[in-house]
Amino acid sequence: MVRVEDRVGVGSGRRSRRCPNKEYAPRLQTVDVFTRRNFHFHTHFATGPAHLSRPGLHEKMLSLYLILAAFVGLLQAKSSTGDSVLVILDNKLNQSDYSLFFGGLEGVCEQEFVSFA
Amino acid sequence: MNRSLFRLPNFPPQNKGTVLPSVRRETAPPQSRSMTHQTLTTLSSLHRIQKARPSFARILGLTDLDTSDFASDITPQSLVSLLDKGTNLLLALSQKQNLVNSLANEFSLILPPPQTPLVSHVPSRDEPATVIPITPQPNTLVDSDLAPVWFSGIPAALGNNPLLFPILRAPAESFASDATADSGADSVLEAVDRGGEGLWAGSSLSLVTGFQTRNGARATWVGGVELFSDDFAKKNTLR
Repeated sequence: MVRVEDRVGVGSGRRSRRCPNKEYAPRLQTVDVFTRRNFHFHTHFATGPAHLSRPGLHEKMLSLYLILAAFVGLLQAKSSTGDSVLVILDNKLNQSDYSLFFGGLEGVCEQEFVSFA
Repeated sequence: MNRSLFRLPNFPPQNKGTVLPSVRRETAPPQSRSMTHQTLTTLSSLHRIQKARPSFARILGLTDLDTSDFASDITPQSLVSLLDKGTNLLLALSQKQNLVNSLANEFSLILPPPQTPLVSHVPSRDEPATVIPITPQPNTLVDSDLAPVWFSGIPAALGNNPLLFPILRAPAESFASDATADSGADSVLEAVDRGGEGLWAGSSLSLVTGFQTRNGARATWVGGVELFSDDFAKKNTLR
């Protein structure tokens, strides 16, 4: 889920020499990127004059980079301890009776079975 | 291939002769000397366990065993240590009382008494009342287009713990009971007359429950190991 929230600060900026009637407030943009794996970016930056409602190109590109980075993080998501799995299986249960479930795991991670004697 | 849950670091072997001063070794009685050596050995083992790294990223415990049937290194303490080191666990609960069920209580899962499976007579079907088709309710972990699944096992009520999150809820018309036949319905009706006291029923029960530890590891509790079986995966659902 990507939530982009724009907030424009008012009244705290400086005034330009060319346009003294316009107030150059810092444009504050907060970008939060949440994914299922708690992959979390949080950044905010102040750029551009307040009276320009459309975000600049570099702001758009930064948002795009953040979204791309989140997807790359999802694709290459691994546990901090690796991607191996230990399956502790009851010896009364037949491993072949769970082949669909274990087959789904095989493409994702390395498995190792331990059954009780 | 059997491998330990932990990968212990290789410390240099202890020189037992230099651990104790020779004077004290001569004067101390043999019993106290052996106790001191035992204490040092225990401390060394504890230090090694603290420095140990998990051998696996995830551990799936698909068992329906009594506590005595588990391997010696699979204990609640070792499983909690693995969680503490960032290993994810997926543990299947049993209708018997075993160490996995006891450990679930420590994670604020409130389990029904042993031999009390989830029962549902709705919808009408050929399967036993304990084999229940469940349409998953979509949430942040379950997609809305997921097909119904078959479940057989025990439910769990969730304690007031913010780290718990239900993944698969029980159907609203299901309840936990040790009697699946109509002859045992009196106890269920009595519980209903008492205002539901002692009755484990409804969609507030959770069949698959997650727990996220403060360091980001996850423990997932599944009410029955049959959920993963090929029979249930291939069985026609009543969508």
